[in-house]
Amino acid sequence: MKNFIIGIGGTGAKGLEHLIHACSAGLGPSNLWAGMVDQDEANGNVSRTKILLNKYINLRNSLRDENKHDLAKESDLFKTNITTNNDSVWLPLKGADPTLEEVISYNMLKPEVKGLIDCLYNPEEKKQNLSEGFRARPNIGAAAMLATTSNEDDPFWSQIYKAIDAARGGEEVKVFIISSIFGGTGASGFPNIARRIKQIQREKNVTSNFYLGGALMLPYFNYDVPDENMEGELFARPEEFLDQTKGALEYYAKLFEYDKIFDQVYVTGWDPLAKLPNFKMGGNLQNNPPLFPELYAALGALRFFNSENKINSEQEIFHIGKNESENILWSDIPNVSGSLNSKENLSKLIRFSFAYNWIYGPALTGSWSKIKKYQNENWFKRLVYKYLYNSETKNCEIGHEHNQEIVTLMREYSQDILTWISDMQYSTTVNTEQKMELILSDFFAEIQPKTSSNRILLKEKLSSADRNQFNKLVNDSKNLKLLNLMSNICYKKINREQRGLGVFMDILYRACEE
Amino acid sequence: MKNIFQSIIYSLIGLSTIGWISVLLIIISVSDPGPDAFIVAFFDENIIASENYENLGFESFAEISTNFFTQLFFHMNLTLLLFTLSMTLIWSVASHYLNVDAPGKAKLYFIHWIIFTGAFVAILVGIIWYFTISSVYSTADLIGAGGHFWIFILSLIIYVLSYYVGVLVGTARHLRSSVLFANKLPGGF
Repeated sequence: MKNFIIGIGGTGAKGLEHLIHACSAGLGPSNLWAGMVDQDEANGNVSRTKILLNKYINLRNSLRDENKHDLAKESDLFKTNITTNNDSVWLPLKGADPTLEEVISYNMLKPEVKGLIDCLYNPEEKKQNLSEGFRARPNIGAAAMLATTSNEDDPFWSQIYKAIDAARGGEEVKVFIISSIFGGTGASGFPNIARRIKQIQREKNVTSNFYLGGALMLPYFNYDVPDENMEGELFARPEEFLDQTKGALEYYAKLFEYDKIFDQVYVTGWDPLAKLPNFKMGGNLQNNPPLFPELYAALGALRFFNSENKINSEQEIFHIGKNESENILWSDIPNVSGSLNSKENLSKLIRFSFAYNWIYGPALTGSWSKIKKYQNENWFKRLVYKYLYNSETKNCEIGHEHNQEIVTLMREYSQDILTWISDMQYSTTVNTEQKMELILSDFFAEIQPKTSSNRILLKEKLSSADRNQFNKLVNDSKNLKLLNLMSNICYKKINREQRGLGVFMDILYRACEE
Repeated sequence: MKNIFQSIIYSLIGLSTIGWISVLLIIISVSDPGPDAFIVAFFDENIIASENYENLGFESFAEISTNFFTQLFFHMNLTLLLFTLSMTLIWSVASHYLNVDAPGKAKLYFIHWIIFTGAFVAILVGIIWYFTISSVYSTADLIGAGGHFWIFILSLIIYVLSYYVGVLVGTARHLRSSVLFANKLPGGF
């Protein structure tokens, strides 16, 4: 089975961010190709996901190498083999600072067509620089998307063509698109890319084994737009989101009535809307926090990919919401399937990240002369020394450069996970009546609400009082302490197929369950 | 819980490597070794002062050995064995609960182990003193000055060694650095 996911626009990129974290917790399919579509290439959300995707792929490749470091097939950690193109982001309009006028060759159009364009787009929209996205103007985005070709030579579209070819060859192929229904890139890209994919499928006469799914995000956040210096600027206006959504839903209702584009659509919204503290028009400064509803979209995608998901011939539309109260709980997170418990896996990943970042990662970092003080401790002897011992040089090679790279990369990844969950919890509920207490983050993270790039600052070191709060890290009834983790890593059974650092990483991950 | 049961089993196996001597002594003494037994002769020669039973009108220790073995010696060894067993199991079980929450912390508990072991030895000495020197058992008067020394030394060797082997193999894996030489055991053991 082949799986493909496309995140369109800022929301799509953020949906992918959640999905990557869920995949590192073992909730994903065995393989997945991931790509993003955004005209705003420098967008902070897209860049963040792009970096995360590369980290995931690097770390997974390092820890799933049968000859050196292997977590083994049974391990849930980094289970999904995520691949992507050399550049994971597809820019619909290439070239420096394109405008709509240039894209549609406005000056070369016949006068009557020019007149039609003048009716559809005002002068500002026609001259708007599109290098930072479509600024919540789906009418611009739609024209721009349709003006671009989706040929087989394009690295992004070639993946879609390959997918459809694979389906024709008898392999089951699933493609999933995440996007917002409001805004610019997402709203214009979702229907157009989906319809284009469907068109290719029809052109290639593929009638079975190919499934298309999508997650549509209804408005789930807003922000205050500053009064100064905004005159004449095109940007996403939160007060227009609901009207845009209404129009878009009417469009989709008609589209779905007459044409079966999607096999399954997952629709998510949020009320009350999360309030983003910082407004940025686009570019690298638009670095919005991860929000809880996007996790729904990501889990919808994983449910779609799951082998237990039976897809009917009818188009299915699913919607999901949290419980009625103002409290967002672990029980509001749906399971991917009957056998994949999202809460269990995510909480295990969070505990793993904490323990690795502050407890075990630092112990494994540095040269052998620094690390060797642990050589007689059972966990080290059993999980590290034995598996990184070179019988030729008669040395434990944990301090070697290539091993230290993995140790450091895993620490960075752990910090990303802790930042992600802390930021999501804070940013979804800040300035609203809602409460989210999935984890307790106060003791290890400092929140800087006024900055957009480093909202969450993780502490460099933890005091013993901070460490003792580990049992409260995840708000569940497990009461798992760091002592239990230490005990678990000394007793958990090692899989015979595991190699190198894969042994320690998997055992620590498995130790984070009771 | 599974790990604690494993520790208990390892402790019992470790304890039994030396502790079988104690069990043997208990069985011999409770079943009255009889006047011709090797143990009676050994005690007569090394532990018991002949003037002590001669003053009581006996010609040899064999004549009054039944009382000595079935009461004093049996009670003492049984008490020492139960105490050693309890202390070994207490440490092995408690070692799973001591707060080793980070690498390098286990060796900090060496001091706890030393104090616990010191207390164990002190109580062990107290038990031997109670049975052999205090006036609770009248047959204790038969033991000579050199005999007290040998009883103390041999009892300490048997019970302290049993305890040590028991905790050596029974201590929780993550706490092994707190027990002398326990961290030299193979990682998978």
